[in-house]
Amino acid sequence: MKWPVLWTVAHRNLAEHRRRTLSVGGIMALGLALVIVGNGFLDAATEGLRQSYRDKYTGDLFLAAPTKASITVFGSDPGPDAETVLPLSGFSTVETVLNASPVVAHWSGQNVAPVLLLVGEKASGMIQVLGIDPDRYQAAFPQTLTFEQGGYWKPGDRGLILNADTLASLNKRAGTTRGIGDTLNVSLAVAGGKIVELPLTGITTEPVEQGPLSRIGWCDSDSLRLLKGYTLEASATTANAEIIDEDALFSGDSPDLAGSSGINLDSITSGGIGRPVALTADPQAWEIVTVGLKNGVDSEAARQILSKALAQAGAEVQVQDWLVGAGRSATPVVAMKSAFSLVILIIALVAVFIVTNALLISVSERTSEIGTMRALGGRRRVIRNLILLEVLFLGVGAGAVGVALAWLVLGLTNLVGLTVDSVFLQMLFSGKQVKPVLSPLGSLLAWAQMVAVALMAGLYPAQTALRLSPLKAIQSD
Amino acid sequence: MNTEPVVSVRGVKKMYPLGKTEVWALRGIDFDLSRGDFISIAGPSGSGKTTLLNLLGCLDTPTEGEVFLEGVSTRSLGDDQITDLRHQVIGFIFQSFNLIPVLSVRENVEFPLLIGTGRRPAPDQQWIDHLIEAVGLSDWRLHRPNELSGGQRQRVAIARSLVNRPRIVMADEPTANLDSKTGEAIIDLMKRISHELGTTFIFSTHDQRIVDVADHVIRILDGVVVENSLVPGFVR
Repeated sequence: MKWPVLWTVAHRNLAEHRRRTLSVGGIMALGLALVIVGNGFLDAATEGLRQSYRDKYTGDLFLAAPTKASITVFGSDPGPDAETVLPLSGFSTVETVLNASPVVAHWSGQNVAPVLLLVGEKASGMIQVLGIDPDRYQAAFPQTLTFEQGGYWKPGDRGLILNADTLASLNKRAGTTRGIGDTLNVSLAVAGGKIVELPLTGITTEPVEQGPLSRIGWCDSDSLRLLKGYTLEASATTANAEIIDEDALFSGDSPDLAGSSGINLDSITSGGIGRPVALTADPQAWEIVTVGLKNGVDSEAARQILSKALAQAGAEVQVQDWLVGAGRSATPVVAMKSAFSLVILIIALVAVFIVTNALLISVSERTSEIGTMRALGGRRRVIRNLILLEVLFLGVGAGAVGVALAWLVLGLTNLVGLTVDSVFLQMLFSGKQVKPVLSPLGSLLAWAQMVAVALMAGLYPAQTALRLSPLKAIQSD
Repeated sequence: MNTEPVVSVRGVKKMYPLGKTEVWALRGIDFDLSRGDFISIAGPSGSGKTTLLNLLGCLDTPTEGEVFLEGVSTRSLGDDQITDLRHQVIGFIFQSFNLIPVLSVRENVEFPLLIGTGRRPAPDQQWIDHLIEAVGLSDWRLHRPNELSGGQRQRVAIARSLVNRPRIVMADEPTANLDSKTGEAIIDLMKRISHELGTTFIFSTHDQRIVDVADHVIRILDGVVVENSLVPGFVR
């Protein structure tokens, strides 16, 4: 029976002190609108980044050998802790687990290396090259490569795909006009590395200039494996080295490593500038495996499921999500999210400060009214409920205005369209047009959070009101 | 008929700290008040009458001594119990009316019925209307306090003080803010209601007109009772 009368007193009090209600409510509404609009753009950036990276390069999850360094699908993140990315050990086990997993829709292996592109023997440019299986790669990332000319190499062949800008830059430096069908020499970007000769099979053009990602090329997996030494012969040597008898090593009789393993040592040490590579690439050597999940599967849950399954199968593999896979490229969004969280915290603190102060003033102005209620038989909780009810009305009302304002801004932005010229922003929003996300659930959540913050802000003034003795309150008149 | 005193005061003292000094507003008060009486606590300003009324109304607690309301010592009660006791037993009429500004006359009168504790029957609307009619405000029931004169506000306060059918009504200088004509009308009204409902009225006042119509006069000076007299010829 108390609530209806408290309801009446609360909303009439807000109406009675219209100016204060409007100023405090207005600030709360603006704060909420700012949060919702900010979230709309942040969600758009996250979605843009998802389109720029997850759907084109990283998949939902990626697998790599355990390492202390920060590994991405583009290799080891540069920095003081950078490490060489190693191929997964026991890939057949990994393959079995992935093929059997109910959460995996598709997967694709890749190797990564920074390489020099050479015209003749003259280095003309450096790019990050991904060694891929074209069938699996196309199935996993159908949107990644848009061919201006040519396409993927035929199964079993060698081939190289370059971005049109990269090729133009290469031709300009070398003074050549290389195109589809011409060959380019490719070498690891280390001194004395092997060289492989690859035919240019495809020239891509990205719909958006993507800064660092425009310096990525694709080649057949075997060529990169050979450049990096991932050969069956090397694998066999490694396996054999593990079973060499220690006594034999120190007995004075040198073991015939080549003879015992049946490997032609000449072929292992072959290569070098201008010399053909005559080894056999290890088809099981993959440094990175990107994983696409089935629709509706939560990536964190899937990450844990796969980690557990792989560990149970004995595969030493770490499973990471796409944001880790994007590496430093995704840092801006993470930084923006952190910065925006700070902004939200500041807004919340300002809201708490304003609401608390406004209510403290309100309580001090209404000591007589509060005291009268206490004298007439209202327990302390009646007073507390009255004050919190006023905050609730204020929060709900201001929230409604804030949500409406935010949706107006976001709706107009979507309708009119916001164009960005910056390469960074285009990468962030996956295009030149920024389409902020209108999230009803997100808006409701922000609204509820604002009401909760306002109620928390009302606790101290309510407590102050409870401390008023009915006697002092009455005497205040 | 219940002859137990409705209020008993035993050895009550009240001290207010004023900086480092102690000011004793009441220095040892004893008396009993009978049910249905029209009681005046009189005395000059600063004599301690309002302090005493606050103690009787459970708005304050004595430094020493005890106050019994209907035989119950108020000393041992917690805040919620004291609040409930005020709600159930006492009605208040304040010098400054103390109406809730955002509520209408009718809502103000009904208010004490709505804020009490526990499940209670729906407010008796006929009783509320009767009280409003009794104080002559039937035509003003939908008006807010700021639309009323001082006398009208005090009438609302009187109706509100009675809506819970309290056994005791405490009135602190109820005529202090009223002109003489309105003051007399208010006194007549309270006297009439006291007789009609058998409600004990306790006034803190230095208005001689109230003292003149009281059944029981307690006069205080410098925190002690200097007169405790029943009106001659009053039959209890």
